[in-house]
Amino acid sequence: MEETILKTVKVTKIYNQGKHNEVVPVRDASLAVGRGMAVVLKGPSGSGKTTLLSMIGCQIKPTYGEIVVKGKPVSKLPEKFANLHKRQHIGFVFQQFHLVPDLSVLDNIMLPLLPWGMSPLERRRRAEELLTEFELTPRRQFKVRDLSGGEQQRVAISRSLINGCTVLLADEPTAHLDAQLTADFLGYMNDLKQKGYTILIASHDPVVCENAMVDRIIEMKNGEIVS
Amino acid sequence: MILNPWILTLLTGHGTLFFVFTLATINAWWIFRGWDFNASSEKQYRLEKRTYLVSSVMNLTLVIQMLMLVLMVMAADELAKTLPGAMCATGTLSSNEYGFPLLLVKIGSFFIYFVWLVLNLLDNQLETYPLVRAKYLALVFIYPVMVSETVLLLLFTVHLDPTRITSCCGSIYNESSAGLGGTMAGSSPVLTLALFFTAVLAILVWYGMEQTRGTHPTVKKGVLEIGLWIWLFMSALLTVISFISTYIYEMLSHKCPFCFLKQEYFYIGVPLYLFLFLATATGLTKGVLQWLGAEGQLGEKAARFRQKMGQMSIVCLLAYIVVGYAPFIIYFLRTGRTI
Repeated sequence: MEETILKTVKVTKIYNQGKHNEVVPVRDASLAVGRGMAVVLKGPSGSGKTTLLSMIGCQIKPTYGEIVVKGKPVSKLPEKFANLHKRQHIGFVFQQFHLVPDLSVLDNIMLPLLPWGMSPLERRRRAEELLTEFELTPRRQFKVRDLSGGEQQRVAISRSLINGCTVLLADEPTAHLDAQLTADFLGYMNDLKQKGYTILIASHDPVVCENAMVDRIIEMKNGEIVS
Repeated sequence: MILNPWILTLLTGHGTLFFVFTLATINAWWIFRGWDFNASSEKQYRLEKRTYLVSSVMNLTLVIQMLMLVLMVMAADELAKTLPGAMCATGTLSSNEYGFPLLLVKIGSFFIYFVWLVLNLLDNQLETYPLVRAKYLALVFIYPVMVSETVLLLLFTVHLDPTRITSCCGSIYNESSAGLGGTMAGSSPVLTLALFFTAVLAILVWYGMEQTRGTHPTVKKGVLEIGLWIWLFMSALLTVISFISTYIYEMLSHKCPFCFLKQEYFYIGVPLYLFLFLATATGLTKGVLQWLGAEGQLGEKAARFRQKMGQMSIVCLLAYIVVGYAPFIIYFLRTGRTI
């Protein structure tokens, strides 16, 4: 049986619990993703995809339920240790990329390694590998704000992978991309999948959902997993 | 009161730290009352964030507060220039009834703060924060120590009177004088050395046994270890006054524990006290860590901390002996006799 890399058990997130403005973006969500699988969390806007992805990515804590990432229960971890686990095991590609526009491509990619206390030489070596892999070497000294959308996306992917993670989470990664760039992105995801990465993408884009590299689609509606 | 930059620095620094300590203690109490690691409530998340803040603030506050001991001794030494009769920090501290009690409280608090800092460091390295409630309750109990330090400092500085003649170290640390200083100076060096080296031997044997046989940490052993280190610290201070000082000054009648912090004695007192305080602080902490037992993640981590504290205390103790007894050895090699 293939190893489960991501698992959520009856995960619920409640904001403003017990108050008049209580919101439950995710309710009793249970899922399991095996090693090397590419899974899409599909659902309309407000269905809870991003919240669930953020909880799996150790960015927010669930109110109830358990989340296990690479064998480690992370739902109860204090913020400091959750961040540490995230830094070591999870790569995250954001919808808006969240790159630092005034830093160079190289510096943006190396940024996640700063808290590791790694030598500048090692940081650069790792970044250079990714620059080559994602065909960004000619742009290495360009400021990110001077890049095209597709290039920025490749920088965002490179940055998410530099920590040596094998789990990649992506939140609506194709929302701002045209058809060609979406195809490119899916091509990169497919390459990563072939290398053994476990990929979880939150998306409502049918092009993503229908792509051949996707092993499974988990559909969400009103905060619940419906299929 | 003397309006002197040293006094103003001490009062301002202490006042600021006291204020921060007070805020942190209030927060510590809230954390102690509401902490439930297994809860997923927003209150628990808020407490978790608050514990990061209190922990970081207290790290800084207590480290500075420990350094304030050094600043206070330096200030006392400087103020001796303005107090008639005073020759060094001893004169300043003895110029009113609050000086030496303040010094004693500051020495005691130095060790208490050190232990708390290490426990805080240990707790912050464990994913379940098992010591959160204990360490913040401890902080609430430590607060009165901080209050007494602040009150004593205030009383000491307010009662500093430049028109009042004070005693110099030569008269206070004189065997013919009444009081604690005279008693300490008049102690038999043979007795104090015997007390000190028995403590050293006991600690080394204890450490050696732990290293070779390995022991299961218990509260009793912790108390015993703490007792040993207190004994060592007290006897070390006695030997400093009754024995070591006479070789540093090369005068039988000069037994001041402060003068050798000055340039004319090559600041030998600085490493001497540094090693003694570090050895005692780490030794006491190792004893306290015995209370945490050996079970689970906490026990494993505490064992690693005990190992580090143990190594550090032994190295510092040996360094203290080398620095403290070097003047005697040099004198003996030079003259072929003891004083």
